[in-house]
Amino acid sequence: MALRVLLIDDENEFVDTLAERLELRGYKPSIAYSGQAALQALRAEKPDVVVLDMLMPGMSGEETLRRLKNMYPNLPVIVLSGHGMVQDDGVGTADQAFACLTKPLALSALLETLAAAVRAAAVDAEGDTP
Amino acid sequence: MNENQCMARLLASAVHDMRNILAIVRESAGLAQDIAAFAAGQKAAKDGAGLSARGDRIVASLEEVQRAVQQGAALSEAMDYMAQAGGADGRNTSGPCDLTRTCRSFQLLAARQARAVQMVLINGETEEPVWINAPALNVLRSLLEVFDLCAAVGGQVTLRFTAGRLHKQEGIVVDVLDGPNREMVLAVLTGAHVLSTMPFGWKAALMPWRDTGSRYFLSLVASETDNQ
Amino acid sequence: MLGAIQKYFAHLLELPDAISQNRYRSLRKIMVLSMVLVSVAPLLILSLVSNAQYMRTLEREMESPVYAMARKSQAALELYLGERISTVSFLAHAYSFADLSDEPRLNRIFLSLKSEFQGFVDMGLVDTDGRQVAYVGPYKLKGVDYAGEPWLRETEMQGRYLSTVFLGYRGYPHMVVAVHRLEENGMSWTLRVATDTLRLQQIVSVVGPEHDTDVFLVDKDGVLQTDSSLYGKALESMGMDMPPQSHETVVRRVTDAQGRQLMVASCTLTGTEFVLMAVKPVADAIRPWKLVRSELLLVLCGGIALIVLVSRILMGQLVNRLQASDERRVAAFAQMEHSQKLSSIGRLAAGVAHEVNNPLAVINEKAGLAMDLLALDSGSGNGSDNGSQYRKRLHDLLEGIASTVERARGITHRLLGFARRMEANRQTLHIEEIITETLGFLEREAVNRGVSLEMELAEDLPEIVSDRGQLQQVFLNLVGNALDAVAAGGSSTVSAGAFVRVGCRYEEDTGIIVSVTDNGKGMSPEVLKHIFEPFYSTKADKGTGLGMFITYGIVRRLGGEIHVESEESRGSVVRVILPQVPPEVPVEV
Repeated sequence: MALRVLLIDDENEFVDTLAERLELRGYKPSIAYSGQAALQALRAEKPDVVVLDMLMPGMSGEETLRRLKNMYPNLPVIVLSGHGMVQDDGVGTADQAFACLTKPLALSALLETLAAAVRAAAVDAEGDTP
Repeated sequence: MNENQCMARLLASAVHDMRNILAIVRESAGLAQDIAAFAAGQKAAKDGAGLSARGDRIVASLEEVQRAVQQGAALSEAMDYMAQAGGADGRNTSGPCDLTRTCRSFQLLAARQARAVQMVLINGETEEPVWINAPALNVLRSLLEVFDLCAAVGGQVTLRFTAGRLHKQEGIVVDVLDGPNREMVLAVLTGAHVLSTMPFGWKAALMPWRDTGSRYFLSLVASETDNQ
Repeated sequence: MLGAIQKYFAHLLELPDAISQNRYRSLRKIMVLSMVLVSVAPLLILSLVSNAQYMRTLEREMESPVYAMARKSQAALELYLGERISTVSFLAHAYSFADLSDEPRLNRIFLSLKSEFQGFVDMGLVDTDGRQVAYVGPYKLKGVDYAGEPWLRETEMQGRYLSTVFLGYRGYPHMVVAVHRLEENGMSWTLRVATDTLRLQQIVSVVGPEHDTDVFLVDKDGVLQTDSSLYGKALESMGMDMPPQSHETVVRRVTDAQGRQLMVASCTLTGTEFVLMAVKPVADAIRPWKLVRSELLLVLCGGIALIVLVSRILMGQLVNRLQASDERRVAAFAQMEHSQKLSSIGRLAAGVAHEVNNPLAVINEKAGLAMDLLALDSGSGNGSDNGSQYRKRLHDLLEGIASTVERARGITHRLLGFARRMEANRQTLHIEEIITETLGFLEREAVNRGVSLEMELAEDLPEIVSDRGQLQQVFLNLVGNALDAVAAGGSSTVSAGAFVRVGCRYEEDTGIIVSVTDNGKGMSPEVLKHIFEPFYSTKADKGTGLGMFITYGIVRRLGGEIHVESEESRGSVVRVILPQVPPEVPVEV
């Protein structure tokens, strides 16, 4: 079954191209260009994993992450940032994200992380079901 | 040379390199484009081997692009590190810094200046991180001054910077490796140097390392008196 | 005048832009001078006033005893001398000429006189013609002719007469008491009695020495009649100018021939030609006070010296401390300003670095996709439809890479320009360029936080001569502050329509006016009051609180003005007015 990935990034060209590449590799990507749009998409359909860019105008990455986690606590989120490490904004981003990758993205790294995230989520889900 | 100038120099150097990278990207992408267009024009030829060879060429170009991008990313990260060291985001700049990372950043930032005097800067690997209780910007300044010393006598040498310790004091081990101008550079570095561009409250010195002829130790300590 | 002094002091005490030795030297001098003046002046005034007062009192004190002595002596002497005269007068009236010209009788009378009254030496009867017809006494003076003698004339005129002291025939100081008698039968004769001056001397000089006063008699010409301890023996000249004479005792302060200061009481004795003098050297009376005074003077001088010394030391220390702390402050501010500048470059560098990452990411993905497509293409063979589709895709991707590269170049170009121009100083600039550039740097940040950046630049803006780097710093700070004000609560609280607007226009008389307007959280009047103060910040733990302080300094040094208006929850406007040409002379910041 194809994995559903929600890509949230305001940099259109980047996210479109990435989606296309994932599609070529058998994923089922959906795109949201802003936090608002992402939440709307999430309400419509729950993906298997989320890739979220932290630096976005409008609703910030942290805000989006928080709301997202509120909606689906077990949904793994892979966070993208421009710097070496996750900035500690006091929001506890590190706790909520499954992993953090930098831009520019090495696709192989992303693919590995996606697989790992989905595996982890599956384990969690198993743990929850009584 | 004050902090301003140090930062400005390193930034300028880094940005020039960035532009080079982008130039490479453009050219490689352009080449790929040309080949692809050429191939399109010859679609009718149905020459399997030729096409795949061209395809290989395109792929190679694009791999070049990606490598360039990685370099660009590393450079960009080094610039960001230096910006943080200079207090860009309002954070405290006087805390301890990761010497290994600082050396690596310096190597990337000053690469272009090094090429200008035919010097090569290498980063030495360390097993574990070495932290020094000094602002990163001061470390960068001292490295730049050592670099200037070598450049002033003609460069043409390979320098290796490795974070390390001497007598429990954190600092940077400077190795003068091979190069046509090696003797000159050794001559100018020998004899303990107290670096003169440190800001108020800091002292940096370059000392010969024990018995080894071409190894030096760059130390940075807080001092009570202004050494200017 | 007071205002000028106040201003001068305020000027000396305020925080200077540059430290100069002279400033502190003059400050030190002035402070020491002031302190010494304020301490010493009352001291001196007090001393002088006390001294004058005491001297006056002392003089008064000195007068009284001398005065009293003179009066008492006057009374005693008048009594004594009056009695002497009366005695002789009695004899002259009790006996007639005939009685007295009988020598044995004269002798008997004289002996009786001598037995009752000491001092009478001889007695003689002088007839109308002036001849001494009868004489009793130890000298051979019978038959002496006194006609024409002054004393005789005086006696005949006044009836009774007491002479001054003289040596005469007798060879020792004596006086003569003479009484003239005009009998009913028309006979006029004179009784003449000589008396020595011993008793007189006794009376005169008995009390004086106890009070250090020299009491003596002189005649109207200043010749001593009795011995004076200060001026010599009887019949010598007093050597002092005669004071104006009155029966009323008069005390005067006199300097004599030898330069001594004297308290002199003088009075005439009625019925005589004597003048009583009571002389007290002032020096003696003053000496104890002089002693004390010189000691006090020593203490005063010592005190003043001490005040001066302590003032110099204390003020020296104080001003040195002030200087040191001023120097440190100036150095600290210079460093802070540098750091501010530094974080500007840093901020921009960070911004650019982040920005460059995005295009790099895009390039990477596109290149990657292109490779993916190629991989697929070679795998699937060159079926014409798919092939051309892929090729078209490839082409587009590579186009995309190229345009992205352009975008990245633009970003790097900006940073290079900024770094290069950091060093330049005064140039002719187009201020619209600087504003546009500055807004360009902050655009991404603004967009990220959901704030709209607007520009309202007038058409006819003239060129301005100023420092590019510093203007950039100012605008960066102001627009950055405006951004922070609008996005204060985090991007989630930014309302739609949040903006920061930079306007620029030119007014002939004023100059170039740049305004930064925002509709952010605004500032209370309380905050506005302190906005240009150093270390004052409303951003909880971000920033040094020096942004506006340094901005203010830069604007002033460029010869401009900066004003802030704000209303809480409504927004703020910061206006910077810049002259077209900067001032030649450094502006007082």
